[in-house]
Amino acid sequence: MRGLLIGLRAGVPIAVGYVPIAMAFGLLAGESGLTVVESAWMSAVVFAGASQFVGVQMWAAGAAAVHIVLTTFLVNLRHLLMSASLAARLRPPGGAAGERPGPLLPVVAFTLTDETFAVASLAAEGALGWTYLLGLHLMAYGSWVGGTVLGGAAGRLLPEALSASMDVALYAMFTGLLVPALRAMPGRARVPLVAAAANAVLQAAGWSQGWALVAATLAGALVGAVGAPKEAAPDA
Amino acid sequence: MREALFWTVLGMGAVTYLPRLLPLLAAERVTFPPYVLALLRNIPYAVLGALIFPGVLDVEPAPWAGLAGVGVAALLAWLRAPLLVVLFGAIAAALLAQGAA
Repeated sequence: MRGLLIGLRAGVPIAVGYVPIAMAFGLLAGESGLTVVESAWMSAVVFAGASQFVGVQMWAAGAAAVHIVLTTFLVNLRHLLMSASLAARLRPPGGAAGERPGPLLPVVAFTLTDETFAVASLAAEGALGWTYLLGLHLMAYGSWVGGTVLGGAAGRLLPEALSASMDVALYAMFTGLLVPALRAMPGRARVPLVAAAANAVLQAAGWSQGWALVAATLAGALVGAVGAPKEAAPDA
Repeated sequence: MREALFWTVLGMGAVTYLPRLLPLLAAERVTFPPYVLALLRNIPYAVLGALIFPGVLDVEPAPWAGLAGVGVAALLAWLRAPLLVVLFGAIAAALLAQGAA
């Protein structure tokens, strides 16, 4: 119980960061033709920011479900790393009897994000446990789903002229996610550049938008991975 | 809710859940070969790049509205502006670009 409260409190900075982004998501999803219930459904079931913006953009462009799901899978595959890292910390080698996860494990796993992982990774050795994680993750999850509903509801109040210019907003959002990440990791700039170029070439060659995106993503990630400079620490 | 969207989102949720769940479920410590790690870390950057281009050229009413918006977004993001500021700055730039035409 104490762990839960400490976790909830540790989640407040995440919530402060999530609410505006979730509102932006609700707003943009509304502009892309999703109802408030539909965007809330996506936030509740997927709970992974970048892939939701991607999913909405592809849905609005008429992409097939298989392409949307495959792209989502690729975008969110990185959680493997964080889940593996958490697993290693929660099950210390040597078999020290820690807190048993029980039914908390599927809930904690479902609500794992880049940000909750970052906070949990920085948590003191003694604080990190399953109830702590539950509190941390529920704070993040609640703010994300709640923010989505708020943003979707606010979208209805937007004037028509502003609404029409929202077309550019999704691209601004992608740029707003990408640029700070590259600023922190400039050696990685060729990854999005190669992916963008490959996407343009494949679409010009007549590939469907969905398959071009999947292939271009893999191409960019591969080119970046081959001959990448050695990195000492993971940057999750 | 539209049925096709319901199922698409459920599929998105399922493929997102598995990578979150499986390592935590695995009793043994999970380790990845370095090249898999490198690939996984690059994927978010790659997909964002591919999403921005060439799609941004399709922004209504003309490509330069999209380019102006994304240019301002890149500048604001570089200056570490909050995401909502980036967003509305880009919308304002696209509006201005339209008005200037």
